[in-house]
Amino acid sequence: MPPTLTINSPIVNLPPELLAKFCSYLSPNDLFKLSKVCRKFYCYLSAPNSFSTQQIWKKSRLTFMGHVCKHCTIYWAFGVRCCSECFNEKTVTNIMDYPQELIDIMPFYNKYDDKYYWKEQLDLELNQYMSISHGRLSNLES
Amino acid sequence: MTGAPEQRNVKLTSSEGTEFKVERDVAEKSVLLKNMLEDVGESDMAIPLPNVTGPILQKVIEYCIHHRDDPVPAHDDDTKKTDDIDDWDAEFCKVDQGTLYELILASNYLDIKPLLDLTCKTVANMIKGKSPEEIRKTFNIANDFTPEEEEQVRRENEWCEGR
Repeated sequence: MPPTLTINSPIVNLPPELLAKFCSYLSPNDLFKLSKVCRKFYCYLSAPNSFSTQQIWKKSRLTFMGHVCKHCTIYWAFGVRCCSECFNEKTVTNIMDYPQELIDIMPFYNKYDDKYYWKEQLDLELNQYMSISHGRLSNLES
Repeated sequence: MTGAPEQRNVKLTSSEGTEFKVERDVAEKSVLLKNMLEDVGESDMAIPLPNVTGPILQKVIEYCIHHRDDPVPAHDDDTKKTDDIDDWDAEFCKVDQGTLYELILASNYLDIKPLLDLTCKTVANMIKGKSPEEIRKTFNIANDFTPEEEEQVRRENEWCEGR
């Protein structure tokens, strides 16, 4: 193929609804790079007022970036701000696996008569708790 | 599975007038043909497909025969994964870009969703993870931005580069 003669692949000339089709499999990052390829893709993917452009980016965000927290509620007990979906994902009520003396000192949030604990906090504290208990044991033994 | 009693054949004609005979369940992989056959009923007349060339129709039929026993995909079965292409399908898509383009158009026209999904995934896989320059090379696209425009695009996107 002579290098000077550039013939665009026919794929570039697909009608917009079919371009949208394969764009729906691309992450925002890939869409962004595609928009920098040539004028046609730039116009197609960087038109802020075009409904179809917005749909493509929206779809891509929802598919590839997953849930985006709306940060709508403050949970003072944990010192965080998140939405109820994140709350459900990041808290636990069933805390049988943790030592009682640790649970007693952990902050919690009351919801439907259940105590909700922030998972990350619990695990962090559990780690410290374990290292302390082990340290003491080895001190006693020596 | 294919022990259907006396399957009637369906005749299709490509844009050049070549005639293809396929079994009805194969033809019905295409929603367009399925609806046509339901509306018109059995007929010895060939169905003209003026938007599809012979070689492409041949490929499409090959796909439909291989997938004749697949279950009808559920509505909104829109997984956006592109790494779930099986070996046969991947081999099927190893064609030049002209053919791939024709297959996308044909599967869209004939309304064969699994084939349209497959071909679009294949195109998406050719783009994924590539830089703009690599994408240009892959599809033989000329960079038609003027230096000023390129500079403008670069400036517009400065804030998110490298993230």
